[in-house]
Amino acid sequence: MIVAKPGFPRTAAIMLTGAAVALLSAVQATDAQAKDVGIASAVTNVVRLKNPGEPQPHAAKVRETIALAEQVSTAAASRLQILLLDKSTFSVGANARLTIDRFVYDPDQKNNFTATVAKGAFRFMSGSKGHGASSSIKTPVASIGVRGTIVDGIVGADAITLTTRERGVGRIANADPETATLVVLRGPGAGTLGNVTPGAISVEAGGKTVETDRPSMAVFVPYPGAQPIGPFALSTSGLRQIEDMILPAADPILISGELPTYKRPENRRLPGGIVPTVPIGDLGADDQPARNPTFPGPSIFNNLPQPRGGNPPAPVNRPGAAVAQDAGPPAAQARPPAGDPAPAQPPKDQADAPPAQSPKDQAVAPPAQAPVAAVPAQSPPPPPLKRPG
Amino acid sequence: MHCRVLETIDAWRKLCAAVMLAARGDVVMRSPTLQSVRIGLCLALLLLGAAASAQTISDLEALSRAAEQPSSGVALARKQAAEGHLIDALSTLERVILNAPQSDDARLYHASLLCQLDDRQGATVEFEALRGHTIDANAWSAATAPCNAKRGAK
Repeated sequence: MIVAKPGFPRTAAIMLTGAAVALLSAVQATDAQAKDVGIASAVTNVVRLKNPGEPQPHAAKVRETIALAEQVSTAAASRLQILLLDKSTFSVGANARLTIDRFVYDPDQKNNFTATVAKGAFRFMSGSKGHGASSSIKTPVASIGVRGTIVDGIVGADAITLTTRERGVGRIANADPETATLVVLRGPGAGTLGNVTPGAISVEAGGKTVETDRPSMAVFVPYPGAQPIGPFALSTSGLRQIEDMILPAADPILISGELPTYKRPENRRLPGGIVPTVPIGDLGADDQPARNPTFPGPSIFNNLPQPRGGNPPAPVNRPGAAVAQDAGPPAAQARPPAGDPAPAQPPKDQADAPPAQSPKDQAVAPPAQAPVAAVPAQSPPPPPLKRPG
Repeated sequence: MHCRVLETIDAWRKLCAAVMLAARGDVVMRSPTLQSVRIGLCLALLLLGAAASAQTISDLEALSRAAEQPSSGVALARKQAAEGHLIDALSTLERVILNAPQSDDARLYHASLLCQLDDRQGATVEFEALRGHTIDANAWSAATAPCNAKRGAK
């Protein structure tokens, strides 16, 4: 039988006190970090954060922690990348509004992530620590399920503008410039290299769910209560516009009197520099032939196929146009008359007359017809790059 | 509590509380060595739990800091890609591009990774963004190799 030594109670008391102090410290630290889900890993220009308890938003700083339910907004010509605890990233472009609603993270188990994008362009990339996480991104008109993948999206008037330029989709009557949502799966596709698992998305809206697992396939939801249109293959020029909303162009140009912004310049040739052979993808409906006669033309992607599979884009509300079966009946896409109980929104026809952009927006927006070289489908192999003289 | 890490810390705290209660029992009171071990273990768990959460945030900060300079960012992306974390590498390069839009190295490798991830159209857009830029021929060849290899494989 073990008998307590005379000095033990005092020792125990000291240790218990120490443990209590450590416990309190841990509790305080935990409370402070309880809602942190990641950090602002890259901040361009003006990004604001607003905690539910804060009266006013404050300017975000690089590496500032992002908390659950914190309202994130970006100004014109501003961008943000949020790096989450599971190494997933959430990037937003200019004039965006975002909230992370739920984030369950366990380094060894499946995670769960839910965010709401109220406006703007965004990109979500599943992280390596996600372990097949189930992620969900909500917009005012759709719920996007994300399985281990990269997904882009736009909420607002830009989604309408971009979609109406896509081949076969055309104008969409009654699309709502505040809530219309375009979603694009970027990859990894089935042909991905390495040990990366191909991803997939599902878009649920108006009681219908559309799924796709093929890169560059897009889904559009025009207004609250509408069923998704698609999936349809997004053109290269459409993809370029989304890219320009999320990432800055390669050549920054400071526009005086405005926030620093980036604008893609016309083709240029640096003195003494080589002009790399530029790959040419599948040309979208609005892609134009080359404007630069010095552009070499043939590329590594001469035989780039169209995105595989998927359904043809659905012409909507175009008299005489056929409607793809998967895109739903035309009536499902047209906004119900004002007398219908749902959705209770005034009729609009913004697709017919896209909202005018402010000068600031125009400065940020990529050119509608960015120069693209047209290459015959069976062009000869590209010439070797010229080295600088 | 929405974060499992923090839930785990919470569980550790409860475990510690249980240890503290057990310390009042006769058996433990009669075994100072056992009690000391338990309390020590409890303290270690607490510190470990707090450190785990802090480490995760500090890991993220390190990833963000590495992308502030194109050279270190691209190097980190290459390391992540070599470890098979292609999407992590892609997000690192996007941080670099956000911080330094003029970084041709980052864009070139970004485009190359898109090819590897079967996002060939996205790669097209990125390669095209380098139109007119001075690119080293070897770097160009290396970046486009995955796209060509992929096309050849099919």
